[in-house]
Amino acid sequence: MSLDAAGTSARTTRLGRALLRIAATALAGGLLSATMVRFSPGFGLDEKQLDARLSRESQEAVLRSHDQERNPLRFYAAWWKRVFAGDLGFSQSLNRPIRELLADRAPATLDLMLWGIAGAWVLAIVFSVPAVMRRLARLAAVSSLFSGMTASLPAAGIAILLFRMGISAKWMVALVLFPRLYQYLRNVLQQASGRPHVLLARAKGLRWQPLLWRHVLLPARAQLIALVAVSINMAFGAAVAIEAICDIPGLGQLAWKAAAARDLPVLVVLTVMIALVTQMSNLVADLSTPILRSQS
Amino acid sequence: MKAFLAKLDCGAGTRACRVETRLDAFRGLRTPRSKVPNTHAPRSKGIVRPKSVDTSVDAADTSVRATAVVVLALLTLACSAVAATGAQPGGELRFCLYSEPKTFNPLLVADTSSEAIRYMTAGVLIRVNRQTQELEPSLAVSWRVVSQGRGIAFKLRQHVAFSDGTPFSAEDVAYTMHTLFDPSLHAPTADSFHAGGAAVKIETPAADEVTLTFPTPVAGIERLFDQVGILSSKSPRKEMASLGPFYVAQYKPGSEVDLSRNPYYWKRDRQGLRLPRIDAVRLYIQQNRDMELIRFQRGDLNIMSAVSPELFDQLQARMPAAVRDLGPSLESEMMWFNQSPKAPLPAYKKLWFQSREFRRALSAAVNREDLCRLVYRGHAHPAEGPISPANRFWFNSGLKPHRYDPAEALALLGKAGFRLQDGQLYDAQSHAVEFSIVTNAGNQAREKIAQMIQQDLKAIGIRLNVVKLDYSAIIDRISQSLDYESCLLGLTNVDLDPDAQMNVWLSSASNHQWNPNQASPATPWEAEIDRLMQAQGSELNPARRKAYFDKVQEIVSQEVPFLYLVTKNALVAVSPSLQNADPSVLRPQAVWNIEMLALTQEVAKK
Repeated sequence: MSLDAAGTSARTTRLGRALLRIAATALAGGLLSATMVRFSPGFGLDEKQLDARLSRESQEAVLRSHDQERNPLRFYAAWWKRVFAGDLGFSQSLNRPIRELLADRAPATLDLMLWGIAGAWVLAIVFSVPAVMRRLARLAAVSSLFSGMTASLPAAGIAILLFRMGISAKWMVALVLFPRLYQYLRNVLQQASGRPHVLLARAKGLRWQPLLWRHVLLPARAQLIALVAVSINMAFGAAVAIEAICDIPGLGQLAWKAAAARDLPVLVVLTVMIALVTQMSNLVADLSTPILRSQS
Repeated sequence: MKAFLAKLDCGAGTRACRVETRLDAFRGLRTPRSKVPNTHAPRSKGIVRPKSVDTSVDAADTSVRATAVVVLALLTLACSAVAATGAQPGGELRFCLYSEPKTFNPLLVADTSSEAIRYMTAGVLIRVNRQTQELEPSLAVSWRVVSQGRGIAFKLRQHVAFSDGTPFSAEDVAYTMHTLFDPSLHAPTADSFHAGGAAVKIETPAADEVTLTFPTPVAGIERLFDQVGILSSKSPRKEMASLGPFYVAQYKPGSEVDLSRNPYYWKRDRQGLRLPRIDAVRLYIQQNRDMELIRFQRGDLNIMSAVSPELFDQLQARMPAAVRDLGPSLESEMMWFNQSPKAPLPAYKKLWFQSREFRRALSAAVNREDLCRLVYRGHAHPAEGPISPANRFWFNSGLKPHRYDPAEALALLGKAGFRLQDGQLYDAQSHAVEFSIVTNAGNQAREKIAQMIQQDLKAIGIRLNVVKLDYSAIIDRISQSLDYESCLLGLTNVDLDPDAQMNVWLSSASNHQWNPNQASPATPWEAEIDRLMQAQGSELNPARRKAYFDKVQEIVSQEVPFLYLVTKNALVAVSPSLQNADPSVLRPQAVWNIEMLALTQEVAKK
């Protein structure tokens, strides 16, 4: 066996294992979600039960409508069977097929997340690069203070604050992500710019701009890609609270409503979906790291 | 004709609802000739019926003249189509729904948003006038109760068509009633008839006559038809074909519902102009009331319903002409104690809650005036009983108000064996009186009420612990596990008639919250309420029914199973650009007369 073939085989095995891990995580996450929702107080109940007009038979019918969800294992197995047949299930609380709900709401969330992530990265770069590369102590202090303040506020708090100021929801996502990205980015940049040959170049009077791309960012690209993957997860987490507060009809709002209504099928779909997206983005980062390192 | 229609289609507006409005108009232009008698055709001036075109053209005329006449006739027909659709520049009315509508099927409506859409889109046989609270003919021109209250016979309005031009007839009413009473549907509207799953006999002796016969008498049967939206038995659009002033043109889930003017709506104003006056209604799905306020102030919205007192006062300061306090609504806040023997509570606590003196004492210890003043900023009234003064016929004006009197509260507690010692109340077995109250988290008014009750009860030595839960958890506690001590929630009477509250007052009912699903009445007064409710339910004479229900209200006031706290005022905001607005305390408040609403010229042109 040649070295190349051995390398390819090892990569394939690693990829296979990673995919299996992703599948197992998504499976376990979905089951955990189903179990937690099933045993949460208020599961299987509907506000219709307080409707005084409903007869006893109708009230019993409302209760019976959740019978198939009472055993989480049985529900979960049946749900996967339906998923393979192309049916994601039906949301009783919103009275619509889940596939339709996802199709209707995904664009709003994607838009919010993409703009939010882009905004957060721009802010993080704008604050961290000059602070590290030009060693601007005041800027570093101000940006650390700002990121510390925003990091100490929950996503919902930032959303309410900015909402009252009439600021777009995209900026809310950006501001929620900013402190996390800023801290990490600054550390990565500090690490990269502290390497001996970079320090030597700066000592010899070389300007920081030419060094930034080739000697700071490129060597740190593996960490930066991992950070992009993490920011996707963080952005979705922020979107849940922001969409709920700002009445944005996206997946975050759907998750919020489904949680309030104990809508088991919707919550399982969202959990599996988020687990897959998170794991896949991490996988991309993991796979790209050795490749990028070997190139640098 | 088809080529002509296609051209007009291409020239129509870009918005989907506009296209659909026009398409419906064109469909109507074709269908009345084939399906509806000529008298169904819109009465607008300038209508030229194809039949008259055919007879007026002399066969001996030259082909050029004939072509000219046909072209002229087609143009006139097109003009009449525009007139038939009432294409007046009525503009777009905009307001918010506070939750996602769960259905557009008028028979399955159970939530507030769907109910509002049903009101604006569905045609009903009889309408309850939201201002006078009297019944008015709608799709039924007349009706009479027959078979000793077991049935009702309707005479239907003629020459009426659904929004897609399908004609309306008795068959549609029969189809609707058959669908409504399908036992698998479990529609709240059907349950209101208390038909008990037994077969409802539906007869259509003529195209404009329908008779319904129920197995048992139905009290106040006529008013129930205000909730029954008539479906078309023939329309390809099924339940989306409407007989109301508007039809659902577009639904963007989570975002908005667009309604368009029904070109076939039967109602006309005094000048003979076809209603409604507004072309479209845009309903934004928005839960955030602060954002709604901002948009209302910007002029993006024309109406705000069920405004909170805080927002009302903010708006009053900035736009005093826009806000209206309509007085007591049908919504009240109340609390009750868990008296169920099945509740997992200590026996001594059950004894407290089952004690009439204890309940009356706590009622006397709560300062309702303060609740109105501090929580509702004066936009509420102390509640006296289960029926709000807004319900003009059924309100019992003879009920005594619950006075705030801590001394009387302590006296009543003393009579029941309680004693106050060092600022702490103890029962006869020396248990310190302490209990919890559950309410739904996120409802600021309720959270404040709970805190104020906590302070009031502290003054008579009772420690109250406030527990805020999400709504699903509360439903679980009060209807399934019964693991709670007392509960603070709101009450909304959707229906004015107390027959709709049967499942609250009957001791065997599941919504008999303080002690649900009793095999036999636990107390003599509950047995008496059962008897009175059954009696009013089988009585047809409204005055006698009122006397029975007055007695129920008196018993409730004396026994205090529910502590009625406050009746909230109906607060609305109406943009000055909206004309003919006459908001009512009954839902849908500001749009109950939507067909008469009009926008000022400047706003309508936008």
